[in-house]
Amino acid sequence: MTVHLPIIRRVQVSDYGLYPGKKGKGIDWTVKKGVGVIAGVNGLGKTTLLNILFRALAGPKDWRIDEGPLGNLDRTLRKMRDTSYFRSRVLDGAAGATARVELLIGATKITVVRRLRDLRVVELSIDGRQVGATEEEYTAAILSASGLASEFDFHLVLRLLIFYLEDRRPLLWDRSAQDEILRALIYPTETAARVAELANKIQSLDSEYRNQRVYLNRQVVVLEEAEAASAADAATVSQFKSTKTRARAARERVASIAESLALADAERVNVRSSLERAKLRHEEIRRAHHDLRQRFFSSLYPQIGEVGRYVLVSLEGGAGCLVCGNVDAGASARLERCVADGICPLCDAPPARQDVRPAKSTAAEGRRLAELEDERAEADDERRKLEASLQASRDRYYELYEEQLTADAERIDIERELELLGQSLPPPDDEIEALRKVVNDLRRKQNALIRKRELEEVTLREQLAIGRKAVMAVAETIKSQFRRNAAAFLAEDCEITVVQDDRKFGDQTGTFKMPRFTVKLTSGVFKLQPQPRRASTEVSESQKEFIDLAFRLAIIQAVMGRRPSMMVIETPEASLDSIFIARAGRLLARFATGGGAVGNRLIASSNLNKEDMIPALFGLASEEEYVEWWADRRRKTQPPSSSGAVPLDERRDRILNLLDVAAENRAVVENKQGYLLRYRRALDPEWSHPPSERAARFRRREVG
Amino acid sequence: MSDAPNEADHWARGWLMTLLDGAARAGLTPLPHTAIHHLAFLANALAPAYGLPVETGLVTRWKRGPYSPELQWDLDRLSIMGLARLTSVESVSDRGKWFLARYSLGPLAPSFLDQALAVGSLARAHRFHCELFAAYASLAPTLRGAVVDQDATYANTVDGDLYESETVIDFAEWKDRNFTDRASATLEGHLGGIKVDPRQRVHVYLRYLARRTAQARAS
Repeated sequence: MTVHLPIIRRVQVSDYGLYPGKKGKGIDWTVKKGVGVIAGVNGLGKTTLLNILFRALAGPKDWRIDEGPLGNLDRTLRKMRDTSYFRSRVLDGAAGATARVELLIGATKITVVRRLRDLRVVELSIDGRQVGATEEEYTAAILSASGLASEFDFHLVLRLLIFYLEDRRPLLWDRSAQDEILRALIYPTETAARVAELANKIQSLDSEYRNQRVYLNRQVVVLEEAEAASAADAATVSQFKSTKTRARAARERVASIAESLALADAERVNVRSSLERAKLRHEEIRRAHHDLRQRFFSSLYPQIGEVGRYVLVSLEGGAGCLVCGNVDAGASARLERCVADGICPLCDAPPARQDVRPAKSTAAEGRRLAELEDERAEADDERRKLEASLQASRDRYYELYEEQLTADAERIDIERELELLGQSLPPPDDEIEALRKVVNDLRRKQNALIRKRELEEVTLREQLAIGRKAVMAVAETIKSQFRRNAAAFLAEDCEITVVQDDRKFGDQTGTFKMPRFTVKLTSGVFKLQPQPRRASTEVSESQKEFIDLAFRLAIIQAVMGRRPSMMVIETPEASLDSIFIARAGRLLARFATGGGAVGNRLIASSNLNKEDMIPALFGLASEEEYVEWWADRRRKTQPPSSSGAVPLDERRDRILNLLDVAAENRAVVENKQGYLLRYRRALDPEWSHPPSERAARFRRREVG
Repeated sequence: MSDAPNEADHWARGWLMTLLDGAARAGLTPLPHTAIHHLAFLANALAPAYGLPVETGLVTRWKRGPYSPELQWDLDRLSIMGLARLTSVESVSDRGKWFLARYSLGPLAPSFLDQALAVGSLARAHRFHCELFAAYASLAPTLRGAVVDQDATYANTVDGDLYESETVIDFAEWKDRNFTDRASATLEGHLGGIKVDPRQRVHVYLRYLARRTAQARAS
């Protein structure tokens, strides 16, 4: 399908504080075929008006592009996050401001009215017929009329080709930008759409692949480390196993000792209980003995009193000496013998020499005493044995207790050693197996992605071949147009050639041959043979701008042929040396004369402070050329370079003079006359008139 | 009962003197030896409630109640030394031949106690013993002799059946199983939120024992 580019035929800006217009009517500018100039001085809103034109066409959407080359961009648009550009420039927030633009795209007339506060479509007509005022309707209309494949491509053409604004991006110097613009304009529409879709898809697959690969690589590292550890650490495993065995043995030993300890504890408790019982039994025997003996001592020492008697009975009964605390059995045995033989316990006198007769025990008492003696001896013996046994069981208990402490300390050491070894152990086999599965799954997914991407690449290659053929078909025309354009204002020989560059649509994708234009330029060093300049840094700053402009014009001219097109340029004089202004103006004026019956539109903003540009845009020769021409009286014709110039009476209609329609800033209020004089000189420069008339004209102007 | 008394023996006798003094201050002396053995046990079982260490953590549940031959030996020794006074010694037939004796402070006790109570730990034990005997004295005389049978440690069934003739109970020697202390602390929860200090706790516990004794007798 043939591509048609939009042409602005009329612009109306209403109720926008920046442009009150004459009698408050705002701006109403009919853009005639050929050159149209937006003239003004700094701060009157030239850039804002150009942006109104751009946004009227582009709507509130933008591409997703970072700084630098376009690269592998996402070929979709997104809604603008910030639509405050026009609101923020006026006091009322552009509440009721609208921009109405009449477009011609091919044979389709589209009139779109947008609110400046949010750029919403509020009115839309196609070929004079009102349709739904929506962005979707507008997009459908421009795509249908232009033959471009997508709204992204329309945006691309506006940005990279039609609007040459201050924030422009390079085209010739950005290879991916070239690819995109050639695709959008020159590839058959279906191919352009398919290539964009495939490129997006391949980029997305590549991105997914890379993300997955990062994760896969991490997992591979983990797996490899695990496998390496598993293979290399056989010694550690062996040591771990032996330590584990030791730890188990240590635990068993501790448990065994604990068991013995519990038994020993039970034993000592048992013995102690027996001993306590034996003590009580002994106490009972003693008390029985006490009962039987106290009569004897009472009769022996009638005045000894109960304490003395208690002491003697206690001693005789085997409890020990309450006087001195001696519990030696010898003391009680002696007293016992004394009592039995009737010997005085104090002086050892036998009964024959005593004059007292202690009470004798009855036979029954004697027998009972004898029994008690036996019982006491037995109880004493038992108690001694139990005391020894308790000592032994206590010793055994404490021995085992110490053993348990030692064994437990050993166990703790071994278990700590085991824990440390465990930390340096390779992961268990099932963990490695799980990791292998993860890695294998990821690899399978990666391979699937690769296969999918490769399939898409096959299709892309086919589509690119179609596109390349289309580009090559117009390459020569582009080249010749460029040569002519460049020659208009470059002193050096400048040409472009087509090269088949490699392009990748992602890190891992295949390479694709893309036809691209690259510039060759002679220089002071290479005077005869133009040298390739592939990077913008290889040419001077002003050369870079001209070459890029010439290339854009060449593409439009080559692609559009005699079909009308448009270019909107922001202050072309800004980046030009004054010597090149006339040349650039002529180049643009020549473009403006193209476009067949409907005619091209060249809209340029220009600063009245640099008055040479506007005459140049109208096709007038420069002052130097006129001076030369006036000096040469033999020539009858106009200066050759001014042959196609816009006639004087038409020039005023082709200028939108912001001095008339824009809100006046302080500079304008203070210097309005001076700026108006500059405006008149821009319209009709002095140098274009015969020197003889200039003095009179000057006088008339002064009077006026 | 070793040949030469060691430091622990001296301490034990000092401790016993503070017990006797507690009884004397409560107007309970001369006190039957059985009561001294009972109170000595209660003093040990309740010592943690008063923040004091346990002197003897072992008691034998016996037909005649708590009785310690070692304590009896010390009592007798103190008596011969003049620190305690032994009176009313007599033999009785009570499930076999047994004896009765009463003890009170001896003529040398005041000067001994003057010096002994200069030792902080003994002074603290002394205060506790005074409180214990004060609580004991406040009980009905007919119940005093039997309250120990209701004590949580002495009557525990963990160490042996209550009908067993001789059960050795270790509540603070090799084991830490002082049910008396736990029971006295638990009683606080039944006082309707009233906070009790250690002194009051001793009184509350002994009254509790007396009430249980009365209930046991009534049933």
